[in-house]
Order: sequence, then structure tokens, then C-alpha cells
Amino acid sequence: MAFLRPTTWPEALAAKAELPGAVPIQGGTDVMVEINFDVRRPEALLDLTRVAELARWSETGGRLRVGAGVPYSRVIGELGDRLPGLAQASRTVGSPQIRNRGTVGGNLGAASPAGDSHPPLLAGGAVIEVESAARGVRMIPAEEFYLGVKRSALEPDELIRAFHAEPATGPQYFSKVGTRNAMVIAVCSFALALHPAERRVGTGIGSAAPTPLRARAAEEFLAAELDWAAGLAPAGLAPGVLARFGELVSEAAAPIDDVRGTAGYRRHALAVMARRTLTWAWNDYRKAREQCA
Amino acid sequence: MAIGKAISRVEAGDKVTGAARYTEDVRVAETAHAVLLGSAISAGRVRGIDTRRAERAPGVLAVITHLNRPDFAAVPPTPYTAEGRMPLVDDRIHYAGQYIAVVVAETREQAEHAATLVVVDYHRTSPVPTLDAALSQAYIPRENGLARVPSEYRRGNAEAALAAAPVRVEEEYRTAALSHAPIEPSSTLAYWEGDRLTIYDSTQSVHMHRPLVAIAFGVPEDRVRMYCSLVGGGFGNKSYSWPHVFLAPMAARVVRRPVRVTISRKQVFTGTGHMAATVQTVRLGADQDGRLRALIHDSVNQTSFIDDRQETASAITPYVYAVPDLYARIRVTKVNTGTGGAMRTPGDSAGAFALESALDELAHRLGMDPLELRRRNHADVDPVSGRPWSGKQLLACYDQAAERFGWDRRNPEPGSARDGDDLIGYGMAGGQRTEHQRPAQATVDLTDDGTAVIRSSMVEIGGGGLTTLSQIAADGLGLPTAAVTFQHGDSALPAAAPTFGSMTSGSTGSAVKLAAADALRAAIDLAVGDRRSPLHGADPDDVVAHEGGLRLRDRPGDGESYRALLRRNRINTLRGDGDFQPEGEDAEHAMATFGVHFTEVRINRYLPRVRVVRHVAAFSIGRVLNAKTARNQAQGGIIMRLGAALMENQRPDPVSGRFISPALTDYHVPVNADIGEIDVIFVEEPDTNANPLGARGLGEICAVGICASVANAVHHATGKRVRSLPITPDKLL
Amino acid sequence: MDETTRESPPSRRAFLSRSLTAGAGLAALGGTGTATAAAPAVAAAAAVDPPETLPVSLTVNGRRRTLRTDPRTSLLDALREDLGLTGPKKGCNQGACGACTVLLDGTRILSCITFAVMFEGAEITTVEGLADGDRLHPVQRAFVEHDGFQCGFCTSGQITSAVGLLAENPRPSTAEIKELMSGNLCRCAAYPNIVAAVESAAEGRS
Repeated sequence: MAFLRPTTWPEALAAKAELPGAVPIQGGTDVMVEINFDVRRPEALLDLTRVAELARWSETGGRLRVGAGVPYSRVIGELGDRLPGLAQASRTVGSPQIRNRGTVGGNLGAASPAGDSHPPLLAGGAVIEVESAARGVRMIPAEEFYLGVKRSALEPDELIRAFHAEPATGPQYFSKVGTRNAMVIAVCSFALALHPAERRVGTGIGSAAPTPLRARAAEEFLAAELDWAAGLAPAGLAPGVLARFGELVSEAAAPIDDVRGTAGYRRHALAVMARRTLTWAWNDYRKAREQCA
Repeated sequence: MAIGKAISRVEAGDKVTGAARYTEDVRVAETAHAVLLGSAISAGRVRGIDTRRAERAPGVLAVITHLNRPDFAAVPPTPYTAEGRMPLVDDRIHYAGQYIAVVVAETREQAEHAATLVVVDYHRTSPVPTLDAALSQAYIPRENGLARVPSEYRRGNAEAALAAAPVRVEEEYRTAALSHAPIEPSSTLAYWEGDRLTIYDSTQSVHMHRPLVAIAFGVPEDRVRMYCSLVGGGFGNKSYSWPHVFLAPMAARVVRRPVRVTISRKQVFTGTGHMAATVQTVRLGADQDGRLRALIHDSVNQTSFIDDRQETASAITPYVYAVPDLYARIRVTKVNTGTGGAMRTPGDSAGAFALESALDELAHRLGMDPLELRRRNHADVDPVSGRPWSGKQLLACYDQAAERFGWDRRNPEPGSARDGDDLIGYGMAGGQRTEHQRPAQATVDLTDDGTAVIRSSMVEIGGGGLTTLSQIAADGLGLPTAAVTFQHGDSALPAAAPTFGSMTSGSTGSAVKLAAADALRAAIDLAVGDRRSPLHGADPDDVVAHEGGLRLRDRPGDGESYRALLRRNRINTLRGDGDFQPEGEDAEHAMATFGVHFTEVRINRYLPRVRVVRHVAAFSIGRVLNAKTARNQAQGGIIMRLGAALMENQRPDPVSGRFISPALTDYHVPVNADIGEIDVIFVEEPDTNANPLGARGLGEICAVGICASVANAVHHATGKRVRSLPITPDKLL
Repeated sequence: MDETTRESPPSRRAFLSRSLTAGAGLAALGGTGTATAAAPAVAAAAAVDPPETLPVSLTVNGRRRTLRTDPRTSLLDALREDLGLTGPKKGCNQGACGACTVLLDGTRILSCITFAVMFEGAEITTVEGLADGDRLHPVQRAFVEHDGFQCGFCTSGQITSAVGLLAENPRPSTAEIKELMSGNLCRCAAYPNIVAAVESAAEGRS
């Protein structure tokens, strides 16, 4: 097994072009489990930990660009205010040891339907920056990135360089159901982001379909129902709105029975998480409006 | 007195610095590494196995299959030989993961790589995948896996009494297959010097397992030396010799070098047993005042096509309550899975879930407090033999734990307690475990530097035996515990009782107590016969051990240190022998350990995952040898069973029968964040009817009754009766 | 129902020989000046005995160590097999139990799911490196005092994890300790005592 250790991004791209079967490795938390268990026998590994730029993030022109090698613990510590949904999701990834090594880039590369970063990336409208030596950069919206179980839009000669997202302009929440209180792979998960400037709602569903996905009907329903201008209006959310939003989120999923949970429980839990996150988000939104007023 | 004190473990320093040596940490020069290849199918046979490419791979020393293996001399006896079929004996496949080849190489990586090059041509037959698929074929095994447990027990006429009873409960209960999931995967390192075999093995008993290896390889037992000082998690997982234990010496013979086999995490799940899934029915008949008239407890568990191994779920039932008419039966049925093991607490944990859930259902039907129902049916004597108990403080356990828990605050109406979106439930259940004893030997050497050395083959699995037995010797000789060292985990030492079956305190502990007394007696005899001793001529019965030496009971000023006594007499060590022989069948008393559990659960009404926020337990185990280690062990047993109650499930694939998730990523055991408040009470009363030490076992009783206590609390919170473990949220929707 | 299946897993040897070719191509491409003896940008595999090894130099418990290791070797295996340490344990080899936890430049990581060759120049601390001579680290002392273990097999990982936790968060609440120690399974379930030990170590520091 070849072990490739590029130190610059062009070297990494060149190596990937030369050896498309090489598996990129950053924290190792996904890749190496499969190697240790002989699920996967890559012909080569591409160690990206020396490509320093991948571990950086920046904010320019009101947009964040987060390198594929930024570990979850830094997303939590450094980006929690700008990307609260993703930070919440990052807090639920594995254990602190895994969060110190694992990265959003790795999560994207693995493209597991249960990956915790996917729902907030979907809800937040993130865009994935991928690149190949031959064709240069492609910007892929998160929604178009996930193609199937552990399959993504990434071509064999491409590497994930970063993801781009706007800092939150409204409340963002992530909720996850597991079989125990920590150290869990999601039975199912849900992310919600309110984008008040565009009067738009973003959602992301995890672990309840072959790919992470948005609940589009639920987003449109809610965007139309929310009284964005209400500000000081006394009423909270109408119970009917909450219930319908939950239903629509639940209907968007296509869960199965597996060792982590039943399809029925997943649908039920999605509806509950949708209602919960919406309640939290709307309360925040109203509070913020009150403070502005 | 050292006994009873909450002192820190004697081996704690090694365990917190990484210096503690487990089997995988033992290094022997020239060791080759063996990797075991498991069957990909769960039923059929190996039609062909092509090992040529594997044999040519770098570093490979041998590839052993059923085609080229050396013969075993004999099949050692079950159940301590875990499987009645020796590995690689033929081409038959009985379960997924069954070993079909051993690849030996210079390094583990090379062996792992070469194992991937073995090509297997399987002849696949239709497997029996699950307990449900085999339920109609259940039978009473002819050969009983555990000789002490009858497959059927009957007193009176339970069917007739049940029919006549005014109140009845008749329900089916199910428990899932569970993995011990120790953090240490089993490891065996073996090497031969002529016909002498040295074997380092992750075993809970070197003396129980050494003869098995000797029989399998046809060598006299004294030619086999087995070592195991520390086990990284037992729970019964390492109480039997699983197939890898025999494959390591076999491979070492083939390659004429030391060979290590450390099984993979997946093989911990498939190759070292599990607690078999059960389907049980409990039928209770009672009077309106709650007095039990009839009890029928019928259990069926899955077993392998190799062995008839019982999960003895109804074995304890005849002993627990004063029921005049009772019938209990244990059947097995064959499934294409590995043979089950003995997992804390064999039989009783699964059985208590059914029995103690059914009692809760009866209490609810009667409108009676569940604790009161149990009080009314208290067994004042052993209902099976009629003998008095050696010691039983169960009623005091009920009182103290109920008070600590605040049971009297419970409104019996299900669903009556809420806190915001949380439903709150209180539940309780009892537990009982028959106390087992075995012969055990130890010596205690008094040395001329004033210290003592215990010698006994005991393996430390975490129960704290190294510490508690050191305390026993210290008290016996009037020494501080720090002056006692312990040679252990070596079959060349006197034979300890195995470190399973809750036998360390009662059996090995008694042997150490006897040995210390014998050493003391020798010291006293030496002193009173020594003209130069201040104790010369004293009545030996007037001399006692005190602060590192001997003195007169009534005149504390007259005495001398062991050091002075031994050095003056030019004696390096004075050896005391301890040989504990249990009374067995002729005992005057029946012996058991007892417990009661109270659990508070909180369940969100929308996402009904059960959280145990508070658990109070009380145990009657005679004397507590070390309050610190005992509390830790009891908390751990409770938490292990909270896992069984709420999350643990070694699910079989419904088609092939193989375990779907043989990995800790999906076989979830409790993590730190799952644990609420756990409160343990010991109702102590030294039980010298049981043994000289007055201590009964703790490691098993602490894990009996928890699942029912949780299920009963869930019923109280929600009104839903979950009769199938684990209690997952989908069952509460 | 009878059926016959022939299962032949893909061969590691096969991809070793493939990567030989690929590696040769990459070596030609490596003229960027980054390929050094200590850290080649590209290391080719060889399909001959002995299997390829790569050099790596790292500091373990304060000592500079250099070894040649198979690129498939995990950091855990390198620590245990090549450097002879026994503290870090292999419980699951898939990052699910935490028994292999070590500190990388003071941060806790899982050594089983990371390759040794990725740690060139890194500073690794295992449980063996925590004590100051015979003087136990405060977290070690707290584990002894509070009986934060039974069998002890997960203990090295629990202790290094706790040291890492207190570096991240010197004054954790009880709930935080429970959550942030959840990457370390203890099947003996000494959890209440582990929490007590970490609490007392945290108090001792403040």
C-alpha cells in the first residue's frame, strides 16, 4: 500500500490525478476504521495532514471558507457563533477524541447518510469546493453533493478542498436521536436554519434515507407560514404550523429498519425534532426581533 | 482490622501507570502471530480451501486448516471447554465466524494480510437463523450443561393450583442475546519445550483451564503451566476455554515457535460466547391477598448445533418465593449461532426479568404494592430443601432500600407522575443467586522481614480479590495490608477457586484465612517453644497476632515481632497452608445471595427513550470485605444490566443468523453520560454458616433484577408493559 | 436449499504490485523538492520481502524515537509493538472504546485509527509519561483514591482522556465530565467513580 505525503495542495492534486484510487486521509476516524476492519483495502493512502492550508478557515466578503482539514473541535470552538447549526452537530460527533481529529471534509468524503455534518450543511446552504488537477475547481451545492449511500459527486481524481457557507443570519438548530446519551451514530437527525433576510427556511435530514436530504416541501410551507415581520407580534407559532411542519419533514424521509432503529421510530422522531427545533428557532427569532425593537 | 476497610486496590499503582500486564502485554522472544479466519457462512461445509497464495505471502509460516491440522489427543470436557467440537476437526460449519483456518506469520500485519488471500469454496446449507425460527423445536437437553441445575423441577401440582387460583398472570417475556463485550479481547500465547507447554491466556481460572489444554494435547497436567495475572474484563467471557485457546498451542507445535493469538473485536462477539436469547413464559396464581398459590416458569434459549448449552433462566425460580406448587423447566433449541457462554449473571439475570416483571403485573392486578407482594411471599427457609438459609437479610434490604429511594412517595397509578414533558416512573424488583463454593487452596508465608506472601493461583478480573484477600491475610497475622504481597495467576501456585461464579470471597478468601491462621499457629508454636522468646511457655491459645508480631492476649506488653522471632530461629519463611473444602450437599444451611432494586426512570413523552436517573439497590451478601471495591463492583453490575434493559442487543440476521453488528459502534453498551445516580446499600451480617470468613459473593447478585426493575418503572411511568428486552423507544410509541 | 458460492477477497498483494507502478510514476512527479529522506512526499510500495517501511521520528513521553514502520501500522501498534509500551490498549481497533487514547501535543486522540507515519515530529504522551518520576499525576492519584476502575484495561485511556479533558476545560461540571468522558467505555462500569476522580482532580487544580 503506497502512502503519499504531499505537503502542498498542487502536490496533493497531482498525486490524486496519478493515483485516483488513493484514499485521502485527514483525521483517519472514518477511513481507518474501514481499513482496520478490512472493509476497504485502498491501493494507496493520501495523507493530507501536511497540507497546511486545509486546516485554515477564512471569512471574506461575508462568506466563510472552511478548509477540509479543520477538525470538529475547532468548528465548535472557533466557528460556533458563525455556524451554530454545524457546531451543534459537531458536538455530537463521536467522542472528544474523535472530534479532535475528525473533520467536516472527512465526513463529506465518506458521504455516509448518518454523517452528522450533512444536515446543517444542507440547511445552511453550504457549497462544497472540490478540485482536480485536470479540470480545476468545481463548486457543488451540498444538496447536489450526496448521490447515494456513501456515494458523492466527487470524481475519482478530485479532492475536497473546503466548504463555503454564509455566517448564520438567523437561528440554526441541530437535533439528533441516538440509542444512548453520547458516543452515538445518529438513528436520525435534523437541522433547521432560518434565513430571515431571504425569508427562507433551510432543512437537513440525516440517517433517514439513502442520502442526507432537504425537506423541500417543509421548507416552502414554513417559509410561507412564518410571520417573518411579526417581530413583536404576541403569538408564538400556531400549533397547526408546528404539526404540519413536522409531518412534512417526516414525509420527506425514506427511512428503513436497521440495527439502530425502526423506520417507524425514525419518521416519528423526525417530526418531533422538526417541531422542537422550530420552536427553539422561532423563540430565538422573536427574542432577537424584540431586542431590535 | 483491615477487613471491611475501604482501602485502595493493592494493584492500583500498576493500573494507573500502564505498568499492569495483561496477556496481550506479555512479550516472549521469537513469537509468531496467528490470525484466525472465520467462516463467512453460518451453515454448511468447507468444500475446498485454497491456501496456496496465503502460504506464499511474505512472512507466512503456516496456514492450518481442517485438511492439514494435527490431531487433538482428546476432546476435553464441557462446559469449561466452551465448545464440544474442537476447532478445525472437520469441514462442517455451524455458525458464522467459526474458525476455518489459522494463518501464522512473523508479524500480525503479515498474518492478517495472508488471511485475506485464503480462498474458501463453501457448500452452503439452509441455516436456522433465529430463536423464533427454532422455537417449535425446543427440547430438554439430555446432557445438562451445568450439572447442578436440573432441567425440570416440580413441587406440588402447579397446573391444578394455577387453575384454582383466583388471580392469575400468564405472560411471555423475551430477552435478547447479549455480548459480554469486555474491553480486552481474548489473547493466548503458547510455546512448547518438548512436551512442556507454557501458555499465557486471558482466563478467569488457570486451574480450571489447564487440565482442558492438557487433555486436548495429550500431555500430563503438570507439564502445562498456565499464567494469567490480570484479565481485562471477565463477566464470564473468559470463564470457558474458547476455540482460540486450543489453536494457539496447536499452531505453536506446527511452527515450533511461540505463537500468539489475539482475537479481533469481531471475534469477541462471534467466538467467545454470549448470553443466549430466551423466550420465557411465567404463569402466576395468587389469592386475593397476594399469597402465591402456583408458579410455572418455562424458558427456552437458543443454543448452537454443537452444544446443548442452557441459559438457565428458570433455575433460580424454585428457591425465591414461598410458593407451594411450582414447576420450572429449561429447554434449548438449535440455531446456527455459536455456543452461548456464561454471562453475568448466568440464568438468573434473564430469569429475574420474567419472574419479577410478572410479579409486578400481579401486584398491579391485585391493586397491591409490589414490595408488599414480595414481603408476603418471603421464603423464610429454602423452599426447595426446607433448610434454613445460612444468612438472609432480604427483608432488611427491602426496608432500607425502599426508605433510601423514597418508595412511599410512589402513587401507584401508572402515568401519574410528570415533570414537564417527562413521564416519571418508579419500579422495583428482587434478585436472588444461589451461592456456589468450590475447593480452594492458598498458602501464606510469614517472612523474616516481617511481611507475608499469599500464594494462590487467583486471577484478578477487577472484582478486587487481590486487595480483599490481602486484607484477610493481614488481619489473620496482625499485619498492615501493605506488608502483604500476593503471588497469583500461575498454575504452579496452590489452586484458587475460579474468578467467576462469585467464588473468590467465599472460597479462595476462606482458603487464605485458613492459611493465615495456619501460619500464625506455626509462629505461635515456634515462639512458645523458644526459650529466648518472651512468649516462652505461654499457652498457645493465649497468644494473638498484633502489629507485626505476637503478644499475650491479656498482657499486651509481652510479645515480639515476627521478624525477631524468625531471624533468631534462622527461619526465612514460615508457611501456613489453607485448604477450603465446601460442605457441599450435606450442608446444614442453604446458601444464597439476595438483593432488591428500586429504579426511577424519566421518559420524554415525545421521544420516549428511557433514562434511568436514579437507582437504589440493597444486597445481602454476609460480610463486606472492602467497602470501596464492593461498592464499585455492585455499581458496575447494576450498570451492565441497565445496558441489557435499555440498549444491548446482539441481533441475528433473520436469514443467515449471523450477528448483524459484531462491533462496539453498534452493539451499544452504556457510556458515562448514560449513568444517573446509583446508590448501593449492603445489609451486612457476617455469615459464618456459609464459610469461615462470613462472606458470600457479590459479583453476580448485583446484576440480578435490574431489567425488571426498569421495565416495572417504565410501566409505572407510561402504563405500557414492555415484555421484551431491550426497552427501545419504538416499543413505547 | 443448497447453493455454492466461491468467495475470493481482493488481494492486498494485487494492489501492492499495482501501486508499485503507480508509485514509480509519482516518484517522477516528485521533483518539487519536498521529497526528503525523512519525509518523502511520495513513498512507493514494493511487492517484495520485506514489505515496505517508512521512517518516522516522533517524541514519545519526552524521548525522541525513530522507527521504520509499515505504513499500515497504526500509531497504537507502533507504540505497543515497536516502542514496547503497554499502557495504550487495543480494545476495538475502530475508535469505539477509547482504550487507546493518547495525547498528541496535549490533545487527546485515538491512536488506533491513525497511522504512525502521520506523526512525524509530533509529541505523543501515553499514560506512562504522565507521572513525574515516582510521583503520580494528580489524575492518576485521583483514580487510585476514588477507585476509578476495576479490571484496569480501559484505565490508561480513561486517565489520558481525563488529562486531555482538563486541558480543554479545567473546571468541568459533573454533567460535562460525564459527557466528555463518554468516549472511553468501561465495561466494568466504574463510571460513577471515574466521574468522582475527574471531579476531584479538577478541584485539586483550581
